[in-house]
Amino acid sequence: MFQKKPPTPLNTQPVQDLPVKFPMATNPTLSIKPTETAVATIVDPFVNESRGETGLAVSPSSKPSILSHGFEFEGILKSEGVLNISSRIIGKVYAKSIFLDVDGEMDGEIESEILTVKGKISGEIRCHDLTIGPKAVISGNCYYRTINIQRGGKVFGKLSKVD
Amino acid sequence: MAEANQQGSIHIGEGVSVTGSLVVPDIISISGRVEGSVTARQVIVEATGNVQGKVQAELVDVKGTISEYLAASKSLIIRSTGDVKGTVHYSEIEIEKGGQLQGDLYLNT
Repeated sequence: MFQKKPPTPLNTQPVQDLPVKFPMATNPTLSIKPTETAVATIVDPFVNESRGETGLAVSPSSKPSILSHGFEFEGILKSEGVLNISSRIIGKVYAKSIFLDVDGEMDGEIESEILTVKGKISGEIRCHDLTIGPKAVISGNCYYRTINIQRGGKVFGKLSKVD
Repeated sequence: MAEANQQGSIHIGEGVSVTGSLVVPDIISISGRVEGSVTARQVIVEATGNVQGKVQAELVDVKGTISEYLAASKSLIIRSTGDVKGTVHYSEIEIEKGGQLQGDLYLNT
């Protein structure tokens, strides 16, 4: 990992002085075992240190990986940073934070610390903070620490809390 | 929520323990402990409330705990102090941050 001079922030405050620290950053517990052939790893050296309520990056130094609408991926996807997904993904996804937009569709296994869902997911979900938006549809088993379902969100399957 | 003079409603106060089956035409608000089955139009489980058994209602608002079985035909809200365990049937669900839900979820069609 290398150091990069942060882009000129909008305010004059230096990046490292941001008061908010993401507590999970020092405690990575995700174990990653690739078993399939297609593997995509997105390593983001500028992982943000502060996040907003939605799990989206707010730090000026953060660079979420954006998978836009129309993109289709099959295989294993790994990221140490934030994924903004509006595309269709089949397979396994491991990331620190995932934001699945309304157009997004995921099928398979998802492991993430922060997962915000506005689209559709079928498969197994393992995350710490799970937020399910009002138009989201989730089918499958969910393992979570904290959950937040907004009115209208649909969940089929088993919900389990893990410590 | 369920005022004393409201028709068809009941309030189970804190410290009160009820065993058996309750059929309430309007609102039941529970601050105590209920073991058995509860059928009502609206069920409100307050923060100190605890229901063990079967809950069936149109509207369910949980600030306390419900375990075993819960069916909400219109709307289910689990507040931040709420804790629901067991089989849950719902048509519209909302969980506030901090609210707990564990078990099998079924969507009414």
